[in-house]
Amino acid sequence: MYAPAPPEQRTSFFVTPFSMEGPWLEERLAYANPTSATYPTANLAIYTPIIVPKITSIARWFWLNGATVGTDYVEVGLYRESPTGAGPGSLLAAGPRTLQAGTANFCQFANPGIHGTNVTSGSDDTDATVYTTASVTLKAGVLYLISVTNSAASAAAISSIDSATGGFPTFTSRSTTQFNGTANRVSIWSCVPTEDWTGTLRINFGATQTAAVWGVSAYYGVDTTTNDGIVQNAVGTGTSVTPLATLAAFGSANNATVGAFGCAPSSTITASAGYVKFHGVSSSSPAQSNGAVFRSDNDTTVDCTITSNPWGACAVEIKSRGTGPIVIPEDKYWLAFHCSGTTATFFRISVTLTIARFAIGYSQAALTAGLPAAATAAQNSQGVVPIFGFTTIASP
Amino acid sequence: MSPPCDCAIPRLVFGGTASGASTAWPAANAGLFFPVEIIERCVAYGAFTASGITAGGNFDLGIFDTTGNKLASTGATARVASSWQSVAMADYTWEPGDYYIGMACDTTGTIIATAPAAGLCEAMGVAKDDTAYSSGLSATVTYVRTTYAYVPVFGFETQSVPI
Repeated sequence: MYAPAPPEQRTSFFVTPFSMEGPWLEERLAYANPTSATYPTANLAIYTPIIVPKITSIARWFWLNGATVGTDYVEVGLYRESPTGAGPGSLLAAGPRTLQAGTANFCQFANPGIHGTNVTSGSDDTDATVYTTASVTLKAGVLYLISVTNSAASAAAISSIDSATGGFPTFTSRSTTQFNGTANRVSIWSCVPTEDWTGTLRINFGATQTAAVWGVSAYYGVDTTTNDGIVQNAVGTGTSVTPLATLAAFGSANNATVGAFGCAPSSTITASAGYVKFHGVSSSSPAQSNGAVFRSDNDTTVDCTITSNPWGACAVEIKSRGTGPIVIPEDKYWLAFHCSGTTATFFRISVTLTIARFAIGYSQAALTAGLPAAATAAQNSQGVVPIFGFTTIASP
Repeated sequence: MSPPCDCAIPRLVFGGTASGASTAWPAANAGLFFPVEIIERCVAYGAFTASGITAGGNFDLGIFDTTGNKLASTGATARVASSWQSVAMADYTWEPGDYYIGMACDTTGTIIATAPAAGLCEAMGVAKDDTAYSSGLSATVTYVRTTYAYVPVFGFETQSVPI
């Protein structure tokens, strides 16, 4: 007997943990209606599973503001299912880091834009011509920047970045300057892998350096067609508490800003308002630091704060892919929500941890740099589920 | 096919545990629009709503595309107090796709409704047009962000048809 196939399920206009794609729809008797409350912990990410039943366009990211709006930054993202089925895996797409603003008790939307996050950082005090990072996984089509501070009598420019593991992506120098006379140098290099790659990176110099400090960061939603998406760069040097590189006017309001700073002796690097710090690392002998900061919008005055030291600064403008929709195939995903503080309020449900773990499963704490490139699944620590997600239509 | 049903997406996930009550329509001539996604071809042959305790005024129940063009509606219908009102309409063949279903009233008379916070309505994809009603639902409406904590009982009666 002929039996027609069941109709194809479509994706909701507003995809949230509570829409039919999420885990909460059938559990709605288990909780009271969402209410406004503060986010439970600063820099906490909450991961909730969804099933997208049909190829879908992400038109905008959104969340539902509570009664108090402002001061904290919000990120919404989408993670692939871990290949081992162990929860969220690598980041597929995320909205730009956005200051909570707009109208209290109503949705706030964020157009697709550039999302940045840290990958790894490290330092090595030894005299060497080659410095090796920890193992990193680089995803195809994603822009990666590596910022490096190195030292020598005359700090050399990096000659190349490669790997002992074959198939490594091609790195290109984007910005560099010596500072502290000639004793130190800060640099930015970029790559956009054409296929996923995992390995350790080698930072090579043509002459022996006395130490190096580095950090690798990742950027999603970048138009990498030309120069890996690097539109312009600027450098600066000085001795003060405010390392600074001044960029020219940006090519688009959607483009993002990255700064890499070096200083010697070492110092804590504090991001300026509007920026998030991806890393701040130091070597001890000789003492020097490297840090990278990011903001998802324009800023020609790229600076940070240190204790008064000689410093060098590199800044780059990153070209946005634009605010057009992000197309994703039908699959299992994990929606992710991150807030930088606990002042802002959101509409959310609050349930017991048992129920939260049953339906959500994972959270990740202490993510000061925002949603990570790869989630590290941990059993959910909060019985809170905010209303957030993405729209699949150009809603009003 | 109504905002809280299993076929319409999203279902009424917020406020769904609350009972509907007779509640004043948020504003005269305002329309509320709820996203639905039709997953198989069907024919809409009627519509319904549940009027509240106050008689008078008119309503219209319609089907719209995602840009605000009216595809079908019952036409202006007088509201009868405290009644389940089924309204016949010309058969409309509903192809799989994305739509809004809308309801508009020309007075603030009462309709059975639930009242999740306006932000929750917005997070379910609800939109409004404060001038949607002009002798019935306008041929085109403009979707704007809703400010109303209001989900009325209304919907469409459908019958599946083979493609």
